Amino acid sequence: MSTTDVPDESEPGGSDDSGGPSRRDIIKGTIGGTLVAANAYLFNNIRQTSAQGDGTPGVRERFSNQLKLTVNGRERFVRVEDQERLAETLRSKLGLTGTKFGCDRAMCGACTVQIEGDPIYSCTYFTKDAVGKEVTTVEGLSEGGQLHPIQESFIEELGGQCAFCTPGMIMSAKSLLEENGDPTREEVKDALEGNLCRCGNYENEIESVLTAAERM
Amino acid sequence: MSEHNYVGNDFEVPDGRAKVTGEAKYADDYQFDNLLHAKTVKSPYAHARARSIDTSAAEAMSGVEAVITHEDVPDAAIGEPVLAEEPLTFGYPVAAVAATDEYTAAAAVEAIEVDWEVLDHVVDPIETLKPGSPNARPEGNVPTGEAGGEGAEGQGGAEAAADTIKWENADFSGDFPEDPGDFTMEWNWGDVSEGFENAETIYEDTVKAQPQPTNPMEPRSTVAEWGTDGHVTIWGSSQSISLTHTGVAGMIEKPPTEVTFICNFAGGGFGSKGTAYPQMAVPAFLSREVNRPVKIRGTRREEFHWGNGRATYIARTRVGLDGDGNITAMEIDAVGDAGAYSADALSTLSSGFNSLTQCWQPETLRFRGIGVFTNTPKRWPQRGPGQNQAALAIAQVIDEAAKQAGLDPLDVCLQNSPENRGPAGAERLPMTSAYLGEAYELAAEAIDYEEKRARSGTREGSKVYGVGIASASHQSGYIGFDGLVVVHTDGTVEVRQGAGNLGTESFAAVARMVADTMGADWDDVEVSWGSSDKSSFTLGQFSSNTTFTEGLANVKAAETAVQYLKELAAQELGGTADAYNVENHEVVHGQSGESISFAEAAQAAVDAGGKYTAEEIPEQYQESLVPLTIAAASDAVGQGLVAFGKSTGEDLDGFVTSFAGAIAEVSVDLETGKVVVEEMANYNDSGTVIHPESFKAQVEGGAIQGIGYTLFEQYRHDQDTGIPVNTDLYKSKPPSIHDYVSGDLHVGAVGEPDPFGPFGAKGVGEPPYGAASGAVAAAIKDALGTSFSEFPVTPDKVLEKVRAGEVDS
Repeated sequence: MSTTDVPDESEPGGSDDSGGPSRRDIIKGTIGGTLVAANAYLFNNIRQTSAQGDGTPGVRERFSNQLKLTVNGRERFVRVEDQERLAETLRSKLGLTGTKFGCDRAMCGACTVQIEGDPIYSCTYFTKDAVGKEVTTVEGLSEGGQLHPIQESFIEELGGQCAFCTPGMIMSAKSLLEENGDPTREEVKDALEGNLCRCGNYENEIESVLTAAERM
Repeated sequence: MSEHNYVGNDFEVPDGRAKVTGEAKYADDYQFDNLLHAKTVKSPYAHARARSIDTSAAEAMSGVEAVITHEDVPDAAIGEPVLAEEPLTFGYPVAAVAATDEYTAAAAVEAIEVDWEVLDHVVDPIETLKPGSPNARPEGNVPTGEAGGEGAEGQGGAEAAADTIKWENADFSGDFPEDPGDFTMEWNWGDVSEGFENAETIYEDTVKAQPQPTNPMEPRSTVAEWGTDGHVTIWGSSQSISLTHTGVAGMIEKPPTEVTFICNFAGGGFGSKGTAYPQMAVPAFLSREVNRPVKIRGTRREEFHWGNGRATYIARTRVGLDGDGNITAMEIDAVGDAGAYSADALSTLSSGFNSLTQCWQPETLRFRGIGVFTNTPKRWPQRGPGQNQAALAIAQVIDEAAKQAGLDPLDVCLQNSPENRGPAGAERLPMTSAYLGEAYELAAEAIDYEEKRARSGTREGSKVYGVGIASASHQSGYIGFDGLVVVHTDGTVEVRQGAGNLGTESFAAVARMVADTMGADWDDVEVSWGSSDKSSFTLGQFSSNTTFTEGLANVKAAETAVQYLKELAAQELGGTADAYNVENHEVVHGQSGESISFAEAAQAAVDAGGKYTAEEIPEQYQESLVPLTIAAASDAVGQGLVAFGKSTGEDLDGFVTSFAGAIAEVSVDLETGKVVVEEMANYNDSGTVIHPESFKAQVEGGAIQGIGYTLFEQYRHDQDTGIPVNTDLYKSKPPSIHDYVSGDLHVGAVGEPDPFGPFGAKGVGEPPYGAASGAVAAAIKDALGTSFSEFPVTPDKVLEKVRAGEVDS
């Protein structure tokens, strides 16, 4: 993650036609060091505001690899490496740690998020490929403190034991129920087969999805 | 409905919302300013010594802030070192770096040059006993210390001692060596030769219960911050708070008072994260160099290399049955694998032996065992460590012995079930309660055993059906631990428990018991978990013991709180303390009906001070409480009613033993070799069920893991190189949602209360695993008419039997 590097003044594409040096210095000074890795979401909010508020081009034009992502219905600007995976970006730069790393290589499903409504393993999905697409994570499910019916049913049916797999399970279930509002037990199992639950809590996970289906 | 307000009834668990919103913080989820990322330099050999380590290139790299090697950390005797000069397994670390990001850390690891001296290795447990074979450890090939004991299950570590024992005159050509040499453990009940003389049927078989990686979903990540004032804060993934707090403090050579341990959510552990583990100390020692928070983000590969797991258990089992099906004799010779680190093989053997006495009650027995070291990852307790290997290994033997005696295997199981206080263990001590026979009967009814037995051996296309029965047990309750209940002046009752939050919800069950004991309203009860600063000292959250152990200690604290509340009410309203009762979050006079609320009573406690607010520690607790428990109350002293509890020897008479009896029906496809568990019933003697939903989740989860053990999961090492060959989830392989039972998985409880358990409770988590595992093994054998000596029963093993003509046709 080269987020730790302070942007080079002479970097190509860094033409500064809007904010002037003062804003640039503020950003540069603030994001120096590893602080950005931990609290990037705060600064991205600032950038987002500056990028959108007055209609001027934002920092995207000034930093290399600066991408605009749409996450949980909000535009987020983030600087990424070419090889950076979406789970890394979500967790370490956008502060969305509900998405988990369970295996780093598309074996367990703990990192499942939705891209354009489809469940994908974000541990093996390049962040740059998410540009222009709607990304939904478990943090994007509740609205105004009101939980999504799948979240409600996962609480009631004890859908999570250790619950490390739960966010990924919920995202797979959401994709299923958006396509098929009245799934059979077998269809639920098929939809969750890419999500490993080491606690072996599958019966409760299936019940949770079926219960949510009834309510949606 | 339960006779209690809360115990026995379902409820919304206190951590449920956080788990479904992504708010639940696991070790890798905490955000820090100024964070450094750690990675380790690992051995590429099964056994090698680092002659020298050149870190200069790494240290010169931009972004690298700290580099440490084995020279910078303490020695670890037979336990796992934090970093090793002589790594005894492939993938064990010798050095570590901390850098400003993971990529830089990875590049720095690549830049470190290690000059390796490659040493001889051995990865097969039996091989270690052959004359002339290499020793996995420099000290020897056999752990000889005391077993860690089932209570600690080696989580505290067995005594560190090792010796070299080779079986010089043994014949190694069979599944188990003939004429073996010395064993390091021997148990006897009566005279086993006499027992065999009284038998009409004698059957013997050797089974190897295989090693397996634990693979919790959350790899073991840790963040450590070593402050400039010397105080160390550690955010880790652990099943326990109290024992991990003290354990990691020891590992980094700090008094516990200078360490804070935080774990709000653990993403699974199944024993492997029972207490502190050396991976926790890597970022701590790096942080000591720079006084910045350092994170090591565990990877799945590392989980295989140093995440530890179930020990190999190779047993030659011989049983004798009389004409009624009584087991007159049981003889076992067993080899347990400790891996390279720890002496846990001894605990595996003693735990397995103990469970066999509990479940089978042989009239006579001789159990002999020897643990060995191999150059494979540390073997450590994993859900029923020893008990569940033993359950798997004996299931086919009982099935075949019954059949040779002309008896139904279920009758043999019932015939040998323990009496209620039946003896257990090497010393033949009583159990607190035992209802295994009832569990078998409930399982038989749930699965319609007669129907399944009638279908046994029948064919449907290429599939053949079979039915099997098995049991397992676990010692699941301990005394000598602390409880802490605080009643705040707003009336809130707070349970400060020290077990942690593994996902079993037993920490919440403990609070339910406190609420019932105190007549409290559940809405005004809070349970604190996750930080050592507020933890009463308790045993770790393993050994299926939290509900009993911590329940008992905190019910006793709740009883203390009730006594204080009554005394304070008497002071406020008059009369004697005995005249008052607690109900509906009030202290009520039994006759007049006059009452004060818990909030008013807590204020009265603050006004009175002394013992009521822990400004004075009552004499009975001064000696008995662990100082950490008193420290955990410190912020409440003088601020509310503070009540301690301590469970003692007076609270227990015998082994607290939980049981499971399971019956499985399988189909085996003779063309593809695929085994399908068609239906299973898994019934448990867990005492009173405190929380039905989580009881069900534990039994189902245990059953599913047990099925995985028999059918899929393994950990294989290449003999020539000692390198593990299946370090991916899809190779090792935990069951997926399509992999467990195709039909119904019936689970349930006997529900008989234990006379010593809090509210009659015992434990749940581990026995359903072993019972499931054994039942599937016995059912496959029943279907095919032939036993398997190695597990898991993968399709290739089935087809090998078919081709060899061993299968009944």
